[in-house]
Amino acid sequence: MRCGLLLGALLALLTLLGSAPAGAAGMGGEQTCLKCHGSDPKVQAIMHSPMGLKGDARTPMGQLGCQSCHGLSEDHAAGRKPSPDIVFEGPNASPIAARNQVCLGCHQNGERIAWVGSTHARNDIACTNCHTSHATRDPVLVKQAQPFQCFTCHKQQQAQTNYFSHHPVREGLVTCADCHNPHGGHGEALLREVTVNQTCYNCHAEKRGPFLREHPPVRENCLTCHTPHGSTQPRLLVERPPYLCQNCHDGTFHPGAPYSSQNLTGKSAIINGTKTITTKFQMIGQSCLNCHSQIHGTNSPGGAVFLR
Amino acid sequence: MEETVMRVMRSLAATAAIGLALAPFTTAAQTALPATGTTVLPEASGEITAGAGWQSNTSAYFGRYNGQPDHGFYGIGDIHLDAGSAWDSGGTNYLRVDADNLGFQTRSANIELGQQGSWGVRLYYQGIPYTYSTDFKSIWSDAFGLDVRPGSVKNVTTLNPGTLSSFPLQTRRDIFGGVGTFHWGDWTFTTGLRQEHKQGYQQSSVMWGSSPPGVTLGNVTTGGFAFFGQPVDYDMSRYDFTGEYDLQRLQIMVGYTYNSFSDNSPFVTLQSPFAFTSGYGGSAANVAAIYGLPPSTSEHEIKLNAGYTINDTTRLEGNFQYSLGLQNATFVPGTGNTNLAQIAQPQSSLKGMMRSVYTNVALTSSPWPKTDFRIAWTLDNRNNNTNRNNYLDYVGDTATTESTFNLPLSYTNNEIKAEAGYRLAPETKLSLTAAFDDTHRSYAATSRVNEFLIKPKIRGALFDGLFGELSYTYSDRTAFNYNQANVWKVLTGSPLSNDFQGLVQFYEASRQRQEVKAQADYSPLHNLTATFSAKFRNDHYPHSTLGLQSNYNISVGPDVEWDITPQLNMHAYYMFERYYFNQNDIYWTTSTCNSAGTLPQPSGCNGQWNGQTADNAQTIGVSLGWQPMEKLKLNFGYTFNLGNAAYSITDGGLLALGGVPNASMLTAPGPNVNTMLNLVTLRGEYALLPTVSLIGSASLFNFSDNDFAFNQSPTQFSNAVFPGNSKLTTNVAFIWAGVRLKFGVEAPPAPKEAAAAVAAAPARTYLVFFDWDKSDLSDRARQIIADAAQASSRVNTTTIEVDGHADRSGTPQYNQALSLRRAQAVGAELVKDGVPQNIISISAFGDTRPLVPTAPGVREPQNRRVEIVLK
Repeated sequence: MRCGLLLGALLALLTLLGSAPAGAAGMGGEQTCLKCHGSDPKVQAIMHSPMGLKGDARTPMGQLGCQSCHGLSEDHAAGRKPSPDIVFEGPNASPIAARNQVCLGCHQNGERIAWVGSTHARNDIACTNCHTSHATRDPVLVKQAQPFQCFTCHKQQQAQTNYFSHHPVREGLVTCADCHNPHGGHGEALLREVTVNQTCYNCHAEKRGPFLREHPPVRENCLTCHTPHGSTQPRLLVERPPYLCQNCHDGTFHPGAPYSSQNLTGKSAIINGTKTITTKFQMIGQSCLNCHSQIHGTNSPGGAVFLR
Repeated sequence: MEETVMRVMRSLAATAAIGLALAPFTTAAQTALPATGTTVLPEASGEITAGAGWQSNTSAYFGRYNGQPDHGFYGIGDIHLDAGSAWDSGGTNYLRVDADNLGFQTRSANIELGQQGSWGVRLYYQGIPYTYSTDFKSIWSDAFGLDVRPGSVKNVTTLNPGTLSSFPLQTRRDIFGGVGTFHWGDWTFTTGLRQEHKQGYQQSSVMWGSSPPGVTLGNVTTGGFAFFGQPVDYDMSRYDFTGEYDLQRLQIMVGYTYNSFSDNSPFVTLQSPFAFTSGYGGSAANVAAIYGLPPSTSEHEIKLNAGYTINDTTRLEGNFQYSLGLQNATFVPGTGNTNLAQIAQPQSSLKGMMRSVYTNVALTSSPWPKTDFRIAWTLDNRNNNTNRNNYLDYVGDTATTESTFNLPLSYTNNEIKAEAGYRLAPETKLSLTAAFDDTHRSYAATSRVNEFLIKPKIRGALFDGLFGELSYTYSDRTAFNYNQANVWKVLTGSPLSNDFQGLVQFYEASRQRQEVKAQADYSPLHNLTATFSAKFRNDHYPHSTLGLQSNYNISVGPDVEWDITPQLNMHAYYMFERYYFNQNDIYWTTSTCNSAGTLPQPSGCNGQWNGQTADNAQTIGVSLGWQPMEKLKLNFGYTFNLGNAAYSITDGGLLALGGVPNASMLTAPGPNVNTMLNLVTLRGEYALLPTVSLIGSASLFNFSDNDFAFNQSPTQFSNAVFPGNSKLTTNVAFIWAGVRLKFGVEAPPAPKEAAAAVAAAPARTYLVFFDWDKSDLSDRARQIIADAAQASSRVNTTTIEVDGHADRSGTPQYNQALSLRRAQAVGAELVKDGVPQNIISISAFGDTRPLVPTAPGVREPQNRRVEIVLK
């Protein structure tokens, strides 16, 4: 009931606003094309997209019609050419630079500010490879659908989201665009933030610090120990501890020892006739983190080795 | 108009009141709203889905992210509404409501409204639950409290799984936010507030008792380690303000962001990790330690980002960011041992301050045809201004004190990257990237690192239907000024640990990296694309004699997308991936060696071992979409993942058995660890009426996991208490069914489906194009002819004219014959497609009727054509 009333109230608000000033009257430009293409639902769709709204004076489509994107196309309109001047898909598609230039005419600010020269731009990705303008709602802007667009090229990541340990991408709670800006970023891998760690802190702010006791590789790059898209190890770790930790921590004291994980009953066993062997607790549970549980950093003066 | 809206409003209210009985609403909306966009306000469309589901078994892994691990019944509910001014009404109002997963803890809601081009408001909510375990075992009776001191240990003498505390180990995040947007001239202002609260318990463990586990076997009353639920209770707030300016060539974005993290649980009190001497039982050594939870922090950040298009071929873009991170939480008390006084520290809180500057300037240009380049400079400077002090603590929470300096790590990284591209053909590009990177660090083992990278790449069409890319990357990183053996001693002022000569932390060590990446897309037919992708990356650390020596990652697999018929499509892929690590480490060979690790060790103390880990993963994904009849859509999905991790240790381990006093040396690698996932889902939607669909779904989820690290019963080890059923092996069936009601203006279907589902009115003229001096038909040509043939049966056709044409290269006589051959080829194809021969009229016009007028001799593609006209 409350939900319905809320919706009703919002719609009522919308109606009140409906008497607000109307935008510039449409120039009827779309009729040039609708004479022949009017019955095509795909053509119809753009009218119901934000770009087709005549009341918004900023929309070339709404104000000037189809030609604002597809070019004047006089030869096409006169039947002399099979295609309009700018074609966005199919075998007769225009060169990518020409297609993208149309979109950039309006959409170069905000998140697209670094598009020119970005990895996707340099690899000849067209805006229309991912975006569908002839739709009331661009499918790539729907959270649950968006990763599948990325997976059409990024096959390794497609597989990794199904690994035992993963960010909830396949569950629809996190999308690629939560961390990446496909239009160009200022750090590596088109990340939304300038560094890997800044990106991670957006959701894992408790790791941001600064801490009294800092673990240098943690502060420098989360990817030293974690992999973002999927891992066969718990906690998105790149390798199983203690081996992961022993990549750096060695020495005759306990960090460097080759720990046994044989005889998993937890009881002693005799091997080689004389020696007793037991699975070491460094191999079970959280491995090194069984004791060094505050490995990301701590504010305890006694936490120099992250035991507390 | 108002009446219309009132009707919609009443309908919405009625809908909510009568729950699932939504038919009256749909009817009202149908009649109230126009079927196509006219000048009536508003236009609206949407759908509501309601139903119920049932889950067969309780499973922490199946319910890990949906917050519903328990078996039983669930409600299903989704709402989507799009409403706003009709496109040609002159109005700009919009309202969009999306509410998903209403029956689950993952429920989300998003409401957007405003006037397009003027202002907009967006409000959102998202729940993100995480289930670690549904039946987490703890030795402490007060598992949910902050105070899990040994005094609350229960049943210490008759420890068995039944006597342990049991509780679900879960966290959940609730995220609320609002974003406002305002357009003013060439400016767009956005301001947002996001509030996130996370609460629950996460897995942690603590070592406690009389001796470390594994050294002396005993039972849990005398020593071991035990898992407990560490409380999580914090809030994250984010406020941001952004101004965007857009004027043709110049785009500017300025922004300010404030982030705060507030921890609501100051600390956790537990058994001291090193109070081994007397164990649990109330002796003096049985003391409490205080564990730090993440301290509250805040961060201010300003951003300035600008791009300027200098001319049609050149753009300059720059980004500057400055952030100030602060942390001044009072230090966690040095001990929980009430017999000891708190130690006076140089300061009572950290006064932590982090200043970061990030700057990036890039120039992109294509000054000559076919050529482009980009040059960029990046500065990443993290300056930790936190005071460096010597902090004191009680060793093992006993009267002995030690002191340790904090390490305020700072670094400065400069990178120059240049990329050049040359277009060999319109779709084929050769590029070369070169980069040089210089990093300085303070309070780190390696104080300076340089890296040089070079990467050639080719990307393009090999032949018609095959598109691919191939790249090779080589990078060489050199580490200078390594602090050698004393790194930790030097930095901390205390021999807490000891790393040996030759061990250089791999993430800052000298490294040679090579990477080969290849991907090929093959489309032999317009409805079939097969992709093959492969990647191999190898890292080698030439100056590291200990620690990580090398590692590689390989991934390889095919992927096929095939629209078998307009009603049946499939997507299938397989991926194999392997992560491999190879490391050397040393061990303590005799009891005369100094176990405290003081350097240098006596000679003969260091034995070396070598270990490898190999994690393999194989993934299969299959999805099928089938529409056997207009009203019925079926989807089938199958996902398989097999993770396999293998470990081996050589040159050490068992070889070390002779005379070794430390049980750590009695080593053998453990068994392989496998995880396997199978998930099958069948989903169907049947359109009972144009506005009402029945939908249903059935899933079978199978997961198995033999990881010895956690697959232990809580008391399997006599000196450790495990969390119980974190063993995740499970089989779960999940079924749900519901009703979907669509209302309002039918939103045009997505383009891909639109082509299949709704045919446009057939055209009467079709153009088929040909290669130069050719009269054979391409796949695309055959498709066009098939379309024409099909159209001829649907529109009133008495004659089909097939007119051949040629461009103006070649002689008129030759072109006359060529255009006839083209027309005949098209005519024959039409007959093959079922058009009766006797209604086809073939004509040839040579080069006399060009579509595009050209000079004689010009090879104009648009003139090499056959026109099919249905009359």
